[in-house]
Amino acid sequence: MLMPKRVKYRRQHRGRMKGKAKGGTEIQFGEYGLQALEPAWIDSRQIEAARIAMTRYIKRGGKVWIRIFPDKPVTKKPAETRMGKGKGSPEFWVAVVKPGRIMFELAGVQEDVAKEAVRLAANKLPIKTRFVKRADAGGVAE
Amino acid sequence: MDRMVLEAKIRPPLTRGELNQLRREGKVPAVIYGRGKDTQSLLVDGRLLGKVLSMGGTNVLIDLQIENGAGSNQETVMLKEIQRHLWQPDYLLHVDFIRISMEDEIEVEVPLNFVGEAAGTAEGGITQILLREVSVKCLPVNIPEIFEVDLSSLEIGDSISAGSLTLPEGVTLLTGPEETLVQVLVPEEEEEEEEEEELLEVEGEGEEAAPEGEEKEVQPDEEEARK
Repeated sequence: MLMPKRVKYRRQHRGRMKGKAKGGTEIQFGEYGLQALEPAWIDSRQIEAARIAMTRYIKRGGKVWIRIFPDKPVTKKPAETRMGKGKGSPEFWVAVVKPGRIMFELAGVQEDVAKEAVRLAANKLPIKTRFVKRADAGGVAE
Repeated sequence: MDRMVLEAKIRPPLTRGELNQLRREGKVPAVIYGRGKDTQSLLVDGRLLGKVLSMGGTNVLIDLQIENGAGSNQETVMLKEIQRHLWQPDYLLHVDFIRISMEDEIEVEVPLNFVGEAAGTAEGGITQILLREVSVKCLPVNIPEIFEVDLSSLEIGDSISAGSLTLPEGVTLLTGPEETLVQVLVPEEEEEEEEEEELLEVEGEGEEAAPEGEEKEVQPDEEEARK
């Protein structure tokens, strides 16, 4: 599963997810993509599940790019613990996704195959998403 | 390349709310600059601009008729930048026009159109497009609409570079001739899928038993809690 190899600090603040995605909003590598329409923390297991769903459906036909990386540690306190005594231990890693972000890209398959693969991947994610084609996403109209 | 006509009005300084109201009414805020003249804020009709974009692409030459209080003047412009809504691409937020001279050469990005299916894909190869547009230098009247790239002769492991494009007269390629436009990759091995399944199983087990490092970290907290 995706996670950083090493980090400078083990615990982070939770932060806020105001506004829209600042970058990564256009298809860069493939022909089709999956765009987030809501803000969320996407954890590494969800990314992996979506990737597997997509690659299983397209079999050996195409190529998949993952455009998000879970670089934020999320901590949890053990069950039945009293409050205080410091912050909990890191439990899993998440990617902070804001609306407009292209999370996955696909190439080398027909549009109907890409649509179904992206639908299966979207089912693994906790947010509303949209299927995008290269011309839809960029600033260039073909 | 055809020239299109578009009308625009001078736009006075407005607030963000007023601009959003105009966008909802189908207008698109724009700006025109270049060639040492003053920058002007404009307002164009979104529907007509959409038509210009869909018919002429982004390298379209536009005769922009700018209405001011006294009358109207005409400028030859090209699109420099288009800002769109992130997930409603037909909703244009802002457009930049740049003044051009028909006598001076300009640098533009010309899109590539990949035609045919690579022969290597029948054997399981994956066609990977690396560049979708190339930059060229030419007079505005000579801007090629599109470059066609024929993929049918590509076998697995083959590629096409920018140098192999046939350029019309008066057009100079600025993209490096050695840069690869498209290649047919060797298919990934089937073993990967099996690996994935194994990984899934391992992950399932991993969830039940936490890694050692984390356990060690949790222990002091638990001890403190018990006290």
